[in-house]
Amino acid sequence: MAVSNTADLFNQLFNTFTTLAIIVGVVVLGLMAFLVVRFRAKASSPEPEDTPTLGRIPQARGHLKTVIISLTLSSIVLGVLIFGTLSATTQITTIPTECAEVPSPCLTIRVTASRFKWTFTYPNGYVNDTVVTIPTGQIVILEIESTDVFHTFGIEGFRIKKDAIPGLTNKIWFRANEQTSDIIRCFELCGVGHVVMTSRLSSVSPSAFQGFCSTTGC
Amino acid sequence: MRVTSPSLKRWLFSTNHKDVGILYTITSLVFFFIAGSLALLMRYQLSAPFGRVLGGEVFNTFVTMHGLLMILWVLSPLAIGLANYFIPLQLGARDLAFPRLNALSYWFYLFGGFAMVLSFFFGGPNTGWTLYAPQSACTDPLCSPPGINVAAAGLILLVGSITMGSINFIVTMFKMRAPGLKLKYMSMFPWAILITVFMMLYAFPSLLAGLILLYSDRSFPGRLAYLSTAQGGNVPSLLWDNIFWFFGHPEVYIVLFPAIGVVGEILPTFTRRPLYGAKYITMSIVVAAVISFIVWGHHMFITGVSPLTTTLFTVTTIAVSLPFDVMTVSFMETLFRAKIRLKAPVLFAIGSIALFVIGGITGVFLASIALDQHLRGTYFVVAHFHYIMVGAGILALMGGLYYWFPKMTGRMYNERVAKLHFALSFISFNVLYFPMFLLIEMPRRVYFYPPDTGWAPLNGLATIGGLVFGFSQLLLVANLGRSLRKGAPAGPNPWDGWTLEWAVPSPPPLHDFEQIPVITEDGVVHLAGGEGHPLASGIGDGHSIPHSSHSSRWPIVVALGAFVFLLGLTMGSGPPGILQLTPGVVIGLVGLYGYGKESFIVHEDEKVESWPFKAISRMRFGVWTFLASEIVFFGVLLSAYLFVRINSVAWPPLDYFDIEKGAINTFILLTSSLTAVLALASARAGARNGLVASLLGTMALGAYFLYNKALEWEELAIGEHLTPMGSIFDNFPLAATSYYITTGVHGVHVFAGLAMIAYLFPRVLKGAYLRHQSETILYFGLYWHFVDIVWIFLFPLFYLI
Repeated sequence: MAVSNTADLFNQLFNTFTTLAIIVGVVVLGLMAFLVVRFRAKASSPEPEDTPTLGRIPQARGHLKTVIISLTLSSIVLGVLIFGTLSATTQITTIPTECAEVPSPCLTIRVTASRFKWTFTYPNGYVNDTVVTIPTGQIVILEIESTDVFHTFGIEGFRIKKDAIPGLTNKIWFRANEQTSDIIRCFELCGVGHVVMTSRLSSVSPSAFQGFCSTTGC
Repeated sequence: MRVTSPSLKRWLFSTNHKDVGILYTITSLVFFFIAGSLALLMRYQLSAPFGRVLGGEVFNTFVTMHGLLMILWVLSPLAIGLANYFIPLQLGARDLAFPRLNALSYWFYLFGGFAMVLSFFFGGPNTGWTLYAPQSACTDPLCSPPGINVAAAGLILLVGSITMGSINFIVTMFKMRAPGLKLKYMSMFPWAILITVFMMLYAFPSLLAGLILLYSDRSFPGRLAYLSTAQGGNVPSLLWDNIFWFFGHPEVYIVLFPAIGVVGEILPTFTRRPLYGAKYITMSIVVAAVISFIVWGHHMFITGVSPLTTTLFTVTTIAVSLPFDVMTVSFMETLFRAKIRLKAPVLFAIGSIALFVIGGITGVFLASIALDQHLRGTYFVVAHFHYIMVGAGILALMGGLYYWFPKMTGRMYNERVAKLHFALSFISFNVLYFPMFLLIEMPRRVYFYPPDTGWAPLNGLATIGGLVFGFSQLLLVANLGRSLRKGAPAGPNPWDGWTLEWAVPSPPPLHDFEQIPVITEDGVVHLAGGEGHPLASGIGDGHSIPHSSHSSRWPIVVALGAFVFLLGLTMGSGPPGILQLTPGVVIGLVGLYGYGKESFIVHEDEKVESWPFKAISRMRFGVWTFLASEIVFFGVLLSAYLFVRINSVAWPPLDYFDIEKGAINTFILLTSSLTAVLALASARAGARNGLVASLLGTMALGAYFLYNKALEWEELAIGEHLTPMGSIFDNFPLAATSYYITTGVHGVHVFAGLAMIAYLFPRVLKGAYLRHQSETILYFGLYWHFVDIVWIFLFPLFYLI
């Protein structure tokens, strides 16, 4: 199990994709290499019968059958990859329904991007712009906004990312599996300080989070 | 007519497609080395944590200019250079349809490149090639420096160049094919270019519209606010994204398709077999071209657009990969049971397919939203699109360069050095870009990274690959440069190719063909000219070489005028003064006047293959094509209006815009359409006085329309017509912006129409444009009606709804 549910999902998907990509890539490139070596011009190889020559429009060749077969094959592969994983996508992009209950079992934190820092605002108004502390095991929703230009909020190890766009509130959610410290970066060129627009995420045990909250009033 | 010595004059004034083709090719290679040097400096910077030489500002500017130059000033123009040279030859034509327009396209392209490079010295664009607003639109010190205006001027010149070029190619390919050369007989390169120029025609107007919004926002900060958050509130955040990617994604295929065309040209020649499934490849390109206009949303998967939208764009994105599958499979089947002569061109072609496969497969990763959610904005993406653009694109075009070099120069290049060039390029390419697939945590466009990230080894490897890749390109220059003088004579057909360019001497004579070839129903090509020519059979069309002009001094003057004008417009901050604009206007007007007055002879053959546009003249077809791109342009402007309209909370009440004034203006403009119809009728009937009167009427009505418009603009700005409302800029910034920009651009079109009448008028008085010369009045009429029709959309959108 990885650091968060999102990292779990990503790793699983990424492995599936990579495995298939390597198989397809090796087969296709291997076949190409074979064809080039096998059919390279040798002194002994005869001139093909339908060699195109100047002064004559070449004969058309090719079968619709081949096209249909190759299209079907790749549709299947792509279909499996994309639609087979659509549920994972939906899982990542849909906020769990239980968060709509009152009182919500989920922790919602507002993330405000501004050149060149991330500001985290907790439900009770506690603000921190260097580190966001969250409990493990609880669903966390981040509401991402920007006050100036486009930024992209990404938590490296959690494998999750979302644009911070002025005027929009974009939400992501995740559940941390273990206590960890992770790095947050900006992934959209936002100016000269883009590269230093980093922050930290610290996931702590629920009891430690209780303690954190009682000192900060979050 | 032509100065045959390679003098400066020839290169400055030539309108011959072969000369212009060489100019394009060489210029694009120069930009390739400029933009490549930027890349090398960035790679050197990243070879160690904390960087080596570049500061953040400079790095960001390099990133941006590298992208813009490579995509727009290298990839496409290199392809267009080859197309310039070889499309007329392959179609059995003697030049492009509008030779002077072709030269004009080239000079717009070159001057646009100057502006782009020049922008660096004003603090160049630093936003990444996507120029995302509001970063690109706001003028405060943390946003974009003034250089971005100059870069926008360069881009506008480029859009002009591409629009003119597209029209030229479309008309040439539909109106000038040799007798009997049906569309289905065309080889893959002409097909790919035909589809590419259609895409250009429809994609680039969107960029132009976006640039106009960007420029006006930056020039009138605090007043115009399509893209800047400060004024417009937060509504328009995604407007630029949509406009840009509606252009940007088709652009990816615009740079790719010519490369596929070149591969489709090289393969049959060197495998000694006809291209497998040529028909299906062509169909696939068409399908991919169409779908490419509806996939732009996949660049915005994580911007927060609705799940339904993302799902739809996922489906279209997957769908677009299927036609590419057909192309790859067909290329591979061509190799089967072939006799592959492994010369440099085919090595580059096959290498290009191989790298395309890798680039394509990794593209599927990014189509999956769940994966995009992490991979987005990382080096994985950088690797992916460089495999497509450099691997598939540049490598194939270089193969084309080797393939056609003997035809262009009459000399062979050095095969051994060319193979070395391929081997070094192919290997170092993979050393350069493959490590980036593994850097799935490293953000793009950072100018340093801390050592504890562990990214240093892979970055170091990539830099080594980059250095080798970059410097091995010098082999290309050295090889071709040396072979130009020392290469073995090539003869007309060194590769035993089947397409028509191989039927003429190398290099081809000024008029390309002694006699235009004729293709008979059985698919046999007949070339009458040239004693002892292998194809001489006596069935040629019998036309001797017609007299045509091949040089004009005016295209470069017109382009210079446009360049100086746009520099004047963009170099300062804020709206420019009259003084800044005058030099450009003067040069431009002198150029246009000379251009219009010059007698430039273009021979128009009657006996050509021109299905399905038999009935209309070359010029009229060109005007229609231009208007088609104008439809997209206004379509995007109106979409921008609808976008902010729908997303705005506050919009002026219905009677805010003076309906009465608008209605009167609508009536005036429609009446002027009527007088334009009368002008054409008079011209056709040979009635000079009628023509004079109706043109005067059209002009008066058009001028009156503009006068009314100006009054309305002023009233709205001051806000006096409905007291106590105050300026529209203060009350409704977005409504003001969309109103002023949309009606402003329309007003400029009306003004251009008036300028056309002013130009025609002295000749009309002398009795020109009557009866069989009346086509010119028709072209004006088509344009004028179009401008009126646009108003018919604008009026209800602003005044009635």
